[in-house]
Amino acid sequence: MVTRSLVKLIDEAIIPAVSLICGKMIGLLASSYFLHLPFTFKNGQFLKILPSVQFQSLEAYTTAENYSNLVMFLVAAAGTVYVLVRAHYFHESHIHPSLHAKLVAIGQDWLVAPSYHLYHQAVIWLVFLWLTVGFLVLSTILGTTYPQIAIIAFVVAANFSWVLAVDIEKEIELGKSQ
Amino acid sequence: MNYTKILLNFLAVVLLIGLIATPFYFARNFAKVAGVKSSSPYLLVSQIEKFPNITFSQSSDAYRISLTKQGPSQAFLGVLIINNPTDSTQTYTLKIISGQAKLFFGEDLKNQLTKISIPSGAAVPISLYSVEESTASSQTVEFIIHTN
Repeated sequence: MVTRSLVKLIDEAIIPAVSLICGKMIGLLASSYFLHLPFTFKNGQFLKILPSVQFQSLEAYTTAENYSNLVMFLVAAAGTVYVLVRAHYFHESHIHPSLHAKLVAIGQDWLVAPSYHLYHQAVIWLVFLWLTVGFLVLSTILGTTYPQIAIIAFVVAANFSWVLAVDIEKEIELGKSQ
Repeated sequence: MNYTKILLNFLAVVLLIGLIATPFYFARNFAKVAGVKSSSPYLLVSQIEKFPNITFSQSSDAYRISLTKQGPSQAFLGVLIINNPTDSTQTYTLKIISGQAKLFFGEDLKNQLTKISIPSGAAVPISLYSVEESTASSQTVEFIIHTN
């Protein structure tokens, strides 16, 4: 009943969503722990049921927020890199035969994926990556994130989008030649 | 049949948007600066220093005012000021735990309110009235403030 692509997108969105939440949490707790930033957990503050992290000062909050946003962006970037590498080197439509043979020989041919799977995954990861960039830009405007982080994030996301566009172009050319 | 398909696809899109938005909502709200958003439903400001022979103290949620009576019936207008720091109108009720003196919102002896609704950011004085019947020269009134 529901379009196959929608189901696939929902399926592919679960892991990135959970990864980004984990990245944010780990970033906050790690920066608080390593930089000795005083904080407390307060129950019922987030969505009225979940605890939230409360920092004692604005400086501590800004530092932790910067590092945690950076970790969240790195998680989104790492996920996108993983999908782009698969799309570029392990794409079923244009993988090099010798590489494919090697992968089969070592039992790692699960890395090879069809376009349908890869493009859905790539779209989701890029959406998360660009939304993270948007979040960082918004945080920069609100004064909680350093502008350098938002600028780097924008450059990285733009380059990753370009790499995916190159792969899609290659796929279209292959389709034309067949 | 078609309507079911449209509804299911619409719900799937909503689910997908929700799934994508969740990490960013989480990232925006998980960390806060303590004390920026006050959870206290009221702010009590003492004006006791303006009155002779009166003391004010607090023990947990209960407040205590001690006074030395100088006449048969006495009123101390605006001994405290209650302020609503929240972003919505709050209703406060004064409840006396012990003591013979009366406490009320405002400064009007003829209209002694024990319950009042205060808009966001507004403040109202609290007055004390020691009636003629309570003859002890040294008096203590203990009270709490309920928020509805």
